[in-house]
Amino acid sequence: MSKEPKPVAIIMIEDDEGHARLIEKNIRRAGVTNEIISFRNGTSAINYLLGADGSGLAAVGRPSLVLLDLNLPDMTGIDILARLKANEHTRRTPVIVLTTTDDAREIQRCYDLGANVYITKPLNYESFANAIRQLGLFLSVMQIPELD
Amino acid sequence: MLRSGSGRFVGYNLLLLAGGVIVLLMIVSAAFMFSARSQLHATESLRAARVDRLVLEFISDLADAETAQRGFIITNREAYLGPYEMALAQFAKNSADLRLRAAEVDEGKAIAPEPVEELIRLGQARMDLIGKNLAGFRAGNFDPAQLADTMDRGRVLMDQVRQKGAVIRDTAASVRIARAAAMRDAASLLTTMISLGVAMIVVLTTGAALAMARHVREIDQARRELVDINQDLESRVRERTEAVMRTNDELQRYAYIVSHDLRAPLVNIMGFTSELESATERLTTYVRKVGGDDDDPERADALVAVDEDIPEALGFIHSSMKRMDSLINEILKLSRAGRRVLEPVPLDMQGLVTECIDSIRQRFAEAGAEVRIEGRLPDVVSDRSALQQIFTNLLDNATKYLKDERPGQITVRGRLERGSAVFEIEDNGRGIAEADFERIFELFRRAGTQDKPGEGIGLAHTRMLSRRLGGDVSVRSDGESGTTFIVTIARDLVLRMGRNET
Repeated sequence: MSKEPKPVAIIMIEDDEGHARLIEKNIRRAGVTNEIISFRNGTSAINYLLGADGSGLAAVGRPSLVLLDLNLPDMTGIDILARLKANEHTRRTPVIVLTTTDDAREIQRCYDLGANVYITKPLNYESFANAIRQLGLFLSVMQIPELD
Repeated sequence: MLRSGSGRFVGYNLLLLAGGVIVLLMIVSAAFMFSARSQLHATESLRAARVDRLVLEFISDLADAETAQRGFIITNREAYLGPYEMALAQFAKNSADLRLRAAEVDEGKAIAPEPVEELIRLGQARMDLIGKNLAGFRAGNFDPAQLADTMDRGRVLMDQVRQKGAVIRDTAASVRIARAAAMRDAASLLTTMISLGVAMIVVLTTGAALAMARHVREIDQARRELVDINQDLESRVRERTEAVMRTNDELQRYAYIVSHDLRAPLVNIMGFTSELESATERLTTYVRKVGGDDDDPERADALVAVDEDIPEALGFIHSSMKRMDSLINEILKLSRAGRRVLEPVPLDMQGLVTECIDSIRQRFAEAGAEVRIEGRLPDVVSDRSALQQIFTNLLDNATKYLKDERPGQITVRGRLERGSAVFEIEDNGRGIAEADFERIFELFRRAGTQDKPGEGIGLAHTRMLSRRLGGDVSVRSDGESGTTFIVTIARDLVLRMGRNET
């Protein structure tokens, strides 16, 4: 094992191309240079995160942070969240939920399932950009725990 | 159906009652008639008996006188003449009696006066003969031959008296027999009539009992039909309610999805508009900085574009975005309220409405309006929060659209109607035109002068909630002197939701 922690990859699961682009732009503006890996649907994201066999072994030694949209064409973000948090190898991976609704029950549900942060995509672009930039600052100081 | 059956029943019963009364009257009058005739028969019978007795006495007196005469002649003692004297004294009275009483029998029709007179005449002759004999004997001119002759005449007379007496007694006896027979006939007639009457009453009573039994059966049948109809109606109401609730649920889901999915592209438009803005700023700065020939028409155009056209366009895009965002938010809010699981509990409506009034008391004070609850509001089993929103919305509306020239009066009243509770919120405000009665309940629609803030969501919300509570909301207004909102909800939501929701 190397002493230097591996750089954290940002895994963005977002079906809306525009949203993905805006999020990426604002993260970059905040000075975050980590690699951003984008997925447009739930299936490919799960395949990547848990590996093709779904065991989660693929995630070992690959620190990452998940930006998750709840509204996906093939499954709900909640399903992905639940599977990540149920897998032994991925359950410590931080998940930031990004969605358009501010439904209290939905937010509650995400936190219950183990989401670390919940961010509403507001229509007020300034506050959205701010939130993303702050998220970038947060990412730059955050330590991603990893099992040896 | 029941009504006509009942009419027929009353008709039957009146008929039977009348029949019964007639039969009873017949029996009673027959009894009276029998009694009167019996009395007459008895009287006549007694009179005939008296005549019989008088005839016997008459004969017996004559016999007494004869016996006395014989005793006196044999013994020549005055003592034997006692019975004669008595018989002589009785004779006249008996004769008069006999004449009178015989004439009384059957008003003189039964016993003719002739035989009676004949009897009396014969008796008198006998009496006279005895008197003459005694007088002669006393005088001492006792001639056995003459005596024997008078004795013979006496015996002949006496035989004639007995014969006549027997004739009269036979007549009297035949009167008594005839009367007795008449009485027997009358009695048997009465018995027959009573039996007939009893039979008729039995028939009438049976008829009445049958009519009553049939009527009871009809009532029972009608009651069962009514129960069936009621059950049918109830199940239909429940089906309809379920259908309305299902439609409502679908609309809510639809609204949720639409609002949710509408926001996603909006985020992009908003985000990239901002990107465009910041890019424009950089461009503007550059265009200004670059400078150049002020007469260059292309440069002037570019300046107009960056100074006016682009900011104006962005401004409109922003304000439209904002408007769309707030509309979507309202739909989302409505859809969320519609998706909330209802919790029916027993509610004290008087208390609940009072709380609603208290919660916006400040608004009433500002509007100078007076609000009161008229009578007692009926209690229901329903969802507290939904009802609070309904009443707060409607009360708030009432204060919002009051007429400036008159002090506001808001009245809340309620009543029960079958399985529903009906509440009315009446104000004396500006009213609503009839053309707008349905429109005001639609989302984002408003009526009248648009001088008050609002999104046009309150009444849509109220309608959605009332429907979810198993009812609806409607409006009544003449368009100028006030408005009444009528909220109908299920009296017991648990009951109304039935089996489809627990």
